[in-house]
Amino acid sequence: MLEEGRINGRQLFFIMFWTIMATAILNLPMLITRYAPRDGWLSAVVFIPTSVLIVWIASKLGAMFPKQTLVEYSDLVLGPWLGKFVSALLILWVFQAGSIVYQEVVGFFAVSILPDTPLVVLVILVSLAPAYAIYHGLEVIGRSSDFLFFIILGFFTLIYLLLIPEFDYTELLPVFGDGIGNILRGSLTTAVYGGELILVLFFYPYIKDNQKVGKILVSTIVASGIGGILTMAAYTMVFGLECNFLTLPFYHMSRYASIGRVVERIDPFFMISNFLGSYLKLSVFTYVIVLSLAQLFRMKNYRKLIIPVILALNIVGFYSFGSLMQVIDFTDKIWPFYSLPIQIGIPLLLIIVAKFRGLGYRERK
Amino acid sequence: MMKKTITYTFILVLLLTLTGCWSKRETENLAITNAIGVDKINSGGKVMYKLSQVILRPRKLGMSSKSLASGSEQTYEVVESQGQSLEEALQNISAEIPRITFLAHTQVIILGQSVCVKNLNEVLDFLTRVSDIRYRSSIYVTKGNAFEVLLAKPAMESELGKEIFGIGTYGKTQSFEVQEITLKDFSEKIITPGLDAWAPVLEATRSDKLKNENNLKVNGLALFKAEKLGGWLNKTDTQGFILAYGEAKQGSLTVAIADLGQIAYLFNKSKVKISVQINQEKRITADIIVKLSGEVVESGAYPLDDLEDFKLAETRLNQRFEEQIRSAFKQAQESESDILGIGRLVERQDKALWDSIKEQWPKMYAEVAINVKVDSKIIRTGLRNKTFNGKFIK
Repeated sequence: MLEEGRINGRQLFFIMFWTIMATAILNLPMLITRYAPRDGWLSAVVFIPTSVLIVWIASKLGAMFPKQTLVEYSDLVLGPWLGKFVSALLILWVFQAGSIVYQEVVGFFAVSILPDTPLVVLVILVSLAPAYAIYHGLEVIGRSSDFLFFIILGFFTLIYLLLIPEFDYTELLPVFGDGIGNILRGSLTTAVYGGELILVLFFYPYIKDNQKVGKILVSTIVASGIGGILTMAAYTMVFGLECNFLTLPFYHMSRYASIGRVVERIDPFFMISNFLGSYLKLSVFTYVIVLSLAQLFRMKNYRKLIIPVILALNIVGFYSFGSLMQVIDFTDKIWPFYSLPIQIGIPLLLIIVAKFRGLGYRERK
Repeated sequence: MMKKTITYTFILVLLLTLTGCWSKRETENLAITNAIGVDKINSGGKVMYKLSQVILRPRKLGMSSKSLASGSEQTYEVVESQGQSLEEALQNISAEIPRITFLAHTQVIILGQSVCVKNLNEVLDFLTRVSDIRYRSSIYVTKGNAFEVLLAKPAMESELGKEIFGIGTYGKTQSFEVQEITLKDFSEKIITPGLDAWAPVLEATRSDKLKNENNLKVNGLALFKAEKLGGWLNKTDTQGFILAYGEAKQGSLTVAIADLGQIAYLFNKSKVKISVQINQEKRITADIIVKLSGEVVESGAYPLDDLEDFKLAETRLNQRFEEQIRSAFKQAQESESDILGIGRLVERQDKALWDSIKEQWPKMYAEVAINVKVDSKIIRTGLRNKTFNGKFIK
């Protein structure tokens, strides 16, 4: 048994919420406002139904095999060769997503507060906490999310509340001014962020009472969708069309927040909370890769893989993208078009084949 | 035992990282800038940026005012440098001062006229890209060169940046001829189609004849059309614009009423509603409705005996306020500067029409007609209910 620990539904919600939001709050707004500068918040509204669809398919698949992980049952469903191929494909996809996330988080610290620090040091700083958590297993990630969730949410809410005097609702008008097509195109990248929740399939059996996972994931999507609507609307209300030109809108907002010129310069709070959120996101991504690789190669213990995988993630990320602009261009123009087929297609394929072959667990009527 | 040793060693190693990081900047090595001026000048046949910085001398700041008066030394230093780009100018400064330049405390940015005419885009790009400068810094424009303004001496505060910042921040709460704008609002207005930017004008004038030094003063507004300087508003037009803009916190107006005398009116509440009407021939009319309420603070010989007197005073006030707003709007139209955001209002009302007229909007803006209606209410008369006129009337 590779994983002894268990997490419960609440912890799953906490982890998955920050898995979406931690980096969605960094660069995603810039990708949305490229298409819909005034109607960015509507793109966030579209995020909810599309992501719920992806998550619903994934949770159906999970519910069919509640005692196995995706790597285990894809062998069962598609046969050893094709199954291994599909698992490897998915792991590679998670790997690439993970390397982008590492690049984004490290790049964020390099751009904003530590411009002179060597990247290696930033990489080590960012990866230490996830590495330690993964070493101790899923339960540690879950338990740490229990208290981190409210700390991060508290900081973000504080910044948000301080900005309310700056909100100018007329910046949002005219609604639908950017055109439906642009709003949908803007929401395409957000759907990929929602689709990251299929990571649950890789540790599905380690969730307590996991027939309810579908509901938890849908509520995660709705919660982060509301968060996205609120923050996107705030960007536009504070910065107007200027938000089109900002690399890190929430960072700018935290710098702009001010109450009576007394409470000012609260961007360190944003740094702290975003670091904590990124920790949860990086932990989940790295954990999934490490665990699935161990299962794919039938290892007894995944711990030996932690350091090599984190190193590989950073090296691949570092060499595949020369700059932050390339990361952003890639996530905008290429990433959604091959991520969405993987996020929707592979679970759908597995469900259909499993149904056809009569495999999987069914609820007794 | 082995595990414990490793853990404790690891914790000790982690302690080492607490002492500092690569990007550290010690306070005593910083040259803290709190105001910068940007100019474009012609030096030796080459057009260069000139960056002036007001750099604080923290040790002098800490002294009491008494010891300062005895020593004639300044608490700040104005450092100037030139360069092909602003970044180059900033680099050149580091050759002159023995400290690390630190822009994060910049409160005030002064743009010289030369910059506003031609190179505003480049300057704003630099200011919003550099991570040190915050979006909350205030923008000022000057009619001459910014470095000349920075040679003025502060009248009250110990340093120049604080002085300018104070004039803007506290001035706007007391009088509606002073208004400040942040870097964020300024660049947002320049970017947004159908909305043009404005910035307060800073002037160095000699206020005290005995002292041989210039002091600073905010006088009117500079208007921009897109990213170019379009024109200026004088003091009374500025009042009219600020009134219509809805940002007037407090302000006073003195009017003479017939030949009865004059009163001074101080309003401290203002509410503005601007809407546009588009008729069949696509002619655009803007309705500006301003509601003010305030009190009579001074009455020179004008009798304030019964309610009719107040009515008359109010109508006279309304006329004057309306004139001010009309004159300000006319001035803005002549400068082709849509400072009230009429274009945005059209866009909000009729997106399809806006898309078709977006290109020729500056032309169309000059033909926009306005209806101004000011409703000023006198709700109090201060601590006195009748005009002081030297005799006792029952």
